[in-house]
Formats: sequence, C-alpha cells, structure tokens
Amino acid sequence: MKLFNAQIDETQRQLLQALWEKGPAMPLELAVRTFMLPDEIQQPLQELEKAGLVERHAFKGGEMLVLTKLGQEIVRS
Amino acid sequence: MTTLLTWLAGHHVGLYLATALVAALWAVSEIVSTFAAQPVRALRTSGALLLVGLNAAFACLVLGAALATGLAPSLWTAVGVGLAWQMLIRTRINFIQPLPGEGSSEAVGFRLDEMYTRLQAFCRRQIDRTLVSERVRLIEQALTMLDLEELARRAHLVLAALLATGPADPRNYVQKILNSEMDEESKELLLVLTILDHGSPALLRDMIREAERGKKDAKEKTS
Repeated sequence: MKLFNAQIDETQRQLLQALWEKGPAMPLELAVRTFMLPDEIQQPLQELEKAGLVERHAFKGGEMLVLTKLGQEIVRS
Repeated sequence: MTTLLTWLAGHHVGLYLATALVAALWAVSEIVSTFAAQPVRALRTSGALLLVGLNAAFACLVLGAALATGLAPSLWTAVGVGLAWQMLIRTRINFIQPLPGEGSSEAVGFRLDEMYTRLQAFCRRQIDRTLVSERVRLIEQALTMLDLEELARRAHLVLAALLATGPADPRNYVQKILNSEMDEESKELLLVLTILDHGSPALLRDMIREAERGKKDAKEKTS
C-alpha cells in the first residue's frame, strides 16, 4: 500500500480524494471538482485506471468514474 | 377479527414489524450518509426503496431464524436483530439454522451475507445511476437556457468563497476556463458543472427558472 502511495502524484491524489469525498462522477465533473481542465486530468486518470484504483461504469447518459476497493483503501491510508 | 388478532399474536407479527422498522431506519441512515450531498434525492430513487425493503426483509429473515433457535420473543430481541442483523449473518456463530437437507449453518449464514452484499451493491449502483441521469437532464436544461456570460458570473460567485486546498486556486478557475482554447459550448458545460458541483443543484434550478421567467416576460412585452 505504501508503494502505491509513493507512486501517486499530487494530481492523482486530488482525483482520488474528489471521488472519495463526493462520490462517483463523470470525467468532466471530476475535472471541475479538482479545478482542472478536462485535458489536464486525462493522463493522470488513465494511469489511475491502469493501476486499478479507478474504473469506468457505463450508464445511459455516458460514463461514470468510480473508486475501486483498492482506490478507497489508498484514499483512507 | 379475534381470529386474525390471535393469529397475528401467535406469529409475533408485531416483533417482525419492529425489526423491519429498525432495519429500514438503519438503511435510511446509511443512504443519507453515503449520499450526503443529495440525501433527499437519493432517498427518492427506486434503488433506495429497494435497499430499504431489502434491509427490512433480510432482518425479518434473521429474526425468524433467531426465534426458531429458541430466543425469547421480546421487543428487545426484535430491536436488537433490527440493529445488528448484518453483523449476525456475517459472524460464523451457530445462529442461523441450516435449511433442511442443506449444509452447515455457516454455509447458510455466509450465503445470506454474500447475497445481501451483492444486492446492496446493486441498489447503490442504481441510486448512483439515477442521480447521475438527473444531473445530466439538469445540465442539458441549463445549457439551453443560460448563456456563457451569466454562467461565468454565477460560477465566479460560487467559487469566490472557496479556499484553495490543492495546487489549483478555485478563485482563478472561471478565468482559466474562459481563457482556455475550448469551444464556447464546452466552456458553458464546465461552468454549469462548476455551479452544480461547488454550488448546488438547487442554485442551478433557480437560475433556469429565472431565465425561463425572463424569456416569458420578454415574450409578453413584445406581443
């Protein structure tokens, strides 16, 4: 777990924290929550997804970003 | 009538109702704390209704099992089961009686626990989806009714009071959006989301209502 924490940069930590505090969000909503532009969160978000900390759930109007169990543990630690 | 009352008393219906009520209240409190940003809207969804119902039903099932083991049928038992039934099906104590012809009590308890966890996750996903769909509808309405200038003004007001908690300063965010190379529609969308997320859905609804009134008044004046 500590290894994961060391690999997460400030932007990624903010994204995880925003999902933890306010719940699942659409990608644009997540950008707004962290006061960033959509382009700025694209790369860090992809890395979080690759690390298995965040996953996308499809729904009628688009897709939603949700913290995985591992992602929740990282935020709590 | 007397027969019905006797039957109800014989089957401890009052106790089951008490357990169901306590378990339902417990579920409501869980929903309210999980969806703290929109508790009332979350409670109005079908997923929430299902979760409350499930809690009540599972708690009654556990009460039935508890009474079958010979536990005294009292109000305290009913309230206790209503509060602690989730813990009871998760413990591996010999509490839940095996179904006839089935394996051990542990297996039954574990299956109940697993089934409830899955159903609970399903209900939460349903609530999430309903809330997100509602947000999408509100965003679409706002985009049709409000212009960039008004959205920027309101978003700026909403963010003015926020303190920076990360590297990005909230007070510069509106300017950052306006200065970006995105098209006007994308800028409007981000501003709507800013008002929605850092303000509230109620604020955005008020803005839409004001804009609708304004348009209606303008129409009446011209006609």
